[in-house]
Amino acid sequence: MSQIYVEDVEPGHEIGPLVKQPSREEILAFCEVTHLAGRFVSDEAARGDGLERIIVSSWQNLAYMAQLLTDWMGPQGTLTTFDVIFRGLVEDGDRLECRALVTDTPLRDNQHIVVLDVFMQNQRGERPLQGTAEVVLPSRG
Amino acid sequence: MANERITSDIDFDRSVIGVEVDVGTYRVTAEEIVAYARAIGETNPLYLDEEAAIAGPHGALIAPPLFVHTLRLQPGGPDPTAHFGTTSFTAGQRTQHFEPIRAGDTITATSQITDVYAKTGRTGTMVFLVRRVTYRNQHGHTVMTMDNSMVRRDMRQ
Repeated sequence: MSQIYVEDVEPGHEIGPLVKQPSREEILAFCEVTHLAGRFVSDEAARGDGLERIIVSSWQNLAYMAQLLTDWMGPQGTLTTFDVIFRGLVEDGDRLECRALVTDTPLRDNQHIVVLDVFMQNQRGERPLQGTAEVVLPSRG
Repeated sequence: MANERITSDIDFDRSVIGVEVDVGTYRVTAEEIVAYARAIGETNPLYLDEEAAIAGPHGALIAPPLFVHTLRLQPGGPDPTAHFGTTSFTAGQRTQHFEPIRAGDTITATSQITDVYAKTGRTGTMVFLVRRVTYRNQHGHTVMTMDNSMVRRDMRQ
C-alpha cells in the first residue's frame, strides 16, 4: 500500500469517492458478522418499523466511511476520531459515494493531525451521513 | 424548530445515567477480523493478510476501526427504559481510537448511559439516548471509546 505524508496534504484536498452499492447479499453478509437482525435482514420486519424494505445499517455505512479514510491514510496513518450524524436512511439498492475534504492540518502534541469533513452521498444527491474525522499522518522529516 | 431538552416530560429511569457496567469480554481472532473486513469489501492487507500485517507497522493483523460492532454486548447494560416512540434509529456515533485492536487481543467492554434528552421539530418529538462503550485490551489500555446516540420516534405519526 502507498503511504501519504502530511506534507502531501493541505486544506481543500478532496478524498474519494469510495463508491459502494451493497447488494442484498452483501447487506445480509454484513449483518451475519455483526449479529444484526430485524429491519436489516427482513422486509417484513422493516415494514413493521414503518419502512418499505430492509435498510443498510448505520454500522455498515460507518464502516464504508471509515474505509475511505483508512485507504487514504496508508499503513502508517492512524484514524483517531470519527464523529458522524445520520440525517437519513440508506436503502437497499442505493449507490453511495463516500467522500472527505481536508479542512485543517494542525500540529498538536507533536502529532501531525489532519482534520476532515466526511460525508456519504446517494444517487439522489442526499447526504444520509456526514460528520468529521481526524487522522494522524507521518511526516517525511 | 424548537429544540428544547424536555427531559422532565420523558418517563425514564434517571438513576442509571453515569453508571458504568461490564458488558462483555471477547477474545479477538484473526478469522473474525478477516470475516468482518471481507464483509465491508476491504482490500487493506493489514486487515486481511496476517503475514503481511505482521511485517507492517503494528506487528500483527489488526482490525478495521469499527470492528467492535461484531462484538455482541451482553444484555444487562444500563437501561433507562425511556418509554417513548415505537422504534429506534441511530442518530449519530462518535468514536475515539487510541490503539489498534490486534488478532489475539482480549477486549473488555463497559457501557454507561451518558445522556437522555428530547427534541421537538417538524416531524414531532424525538427522544435521544446516548450510550458510551469503552473498550480496553488485556493490558488495561483503552483502545477505543464509542458514543452512540439512538433516537426513538413514533413511526405511526
